[in-house]
Amino acid sequence: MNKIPLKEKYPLLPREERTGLLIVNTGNGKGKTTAALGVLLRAAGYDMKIAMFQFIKSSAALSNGEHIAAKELGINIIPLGDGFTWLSENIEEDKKLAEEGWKLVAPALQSDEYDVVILDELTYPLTFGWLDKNAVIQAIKNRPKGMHVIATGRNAPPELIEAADLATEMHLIKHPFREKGIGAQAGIEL
Amino acid sequence: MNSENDDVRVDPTTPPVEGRSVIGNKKIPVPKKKQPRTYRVLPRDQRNGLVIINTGDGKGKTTAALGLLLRATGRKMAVGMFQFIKSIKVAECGEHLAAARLGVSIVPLGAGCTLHHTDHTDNRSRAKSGWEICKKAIQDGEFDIIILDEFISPVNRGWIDINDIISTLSSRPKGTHVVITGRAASEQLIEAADLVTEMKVIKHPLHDSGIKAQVGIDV
Repeated sequence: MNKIPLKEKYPLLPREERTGLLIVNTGNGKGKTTAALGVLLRAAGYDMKIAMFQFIKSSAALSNGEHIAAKELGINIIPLGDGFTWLSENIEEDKKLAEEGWKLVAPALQSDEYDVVILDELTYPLTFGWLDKNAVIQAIKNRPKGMHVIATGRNAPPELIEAADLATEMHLIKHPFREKGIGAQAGIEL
Repeated sequence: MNSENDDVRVDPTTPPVEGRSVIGNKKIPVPKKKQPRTYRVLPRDQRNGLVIINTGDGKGKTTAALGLLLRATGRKMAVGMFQFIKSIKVAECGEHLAAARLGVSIVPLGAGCTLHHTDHTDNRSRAKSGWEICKKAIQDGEFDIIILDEFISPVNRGWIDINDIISTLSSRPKGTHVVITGRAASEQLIEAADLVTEMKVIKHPLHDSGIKAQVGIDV
């Protein structure tokens, strides 16, 4: 079979020739983080350098399927939070964690080390005011040319959508928990 | 509490000291301690096999299915992914390369984009025989998760018998998850599903800024 490998037909362009996108996955449906993971898989196939940071999610998430599989692909997904906020005793602590997390994220957005940076559940620290919305969006805008950034989470602030190149709303039509009381399952939700 | 401790950022990738938060050594609430035990992979007969549909005009339908593939693979589940429409010629996209590294093969069943085709004879027979392959994969119970990518378009065109699909789905082995993607899922399919998400366009790089599909992001 003399097919041309797609990788040769559509090679990965040098970074300065790429159009770095800001992708926002928002909405009340499922698939926001999951779609970001799908991009991670695709990009990993092209040997792109990927950084994924998860706000809110705690280090308990490290045993989740996506962390294990990503590690196999040589990618570390870094949780920055302390679990979901409704479990939290102390909002001040969450705020502090978000700020500490941002100290890891900001240099990643500035460096030219990464092709794709995924900021999972970013909208919550923005909506709750734990991070300065304008500073975060400015930092994303100032990223090196050709770097793709993916932000996920419900209720994306209008400013973030305004700055985005691609924004998708995941809209819930049917949900196993709401309709049948089926809880989260390993391998599907986490 | 020791104020010195407050300034120390513990490496978030290290597991927490049991019952203690990574910062400030504070007690963390009980539910979190329980989480890892609750969310282990159950034996197949105790699972709730879901029919998941990702539909809508927006991006993220196939991509979210790929995310599930990644998750499930991490949980050592067997994943089978079949792509209608997509042809063997383009079967070396990023997702194929990365999935192969994880030991998952994504099987293309189509002849490429059908958008500009006028003669659908070939596409119809490909869809039909493709469905037979998928049907067998669902019935065999070999896979924990079966992804039918871009499945909805051939169904809506009437190339595959919807009643056959519904009965195959409802009689599938217990605990098998089936993920279906594609635009414009019909009422009948939605009726048969447990989880349906519509991906809606808010902003699209091609339509809004003329930015075309890019390697690593779209393919």
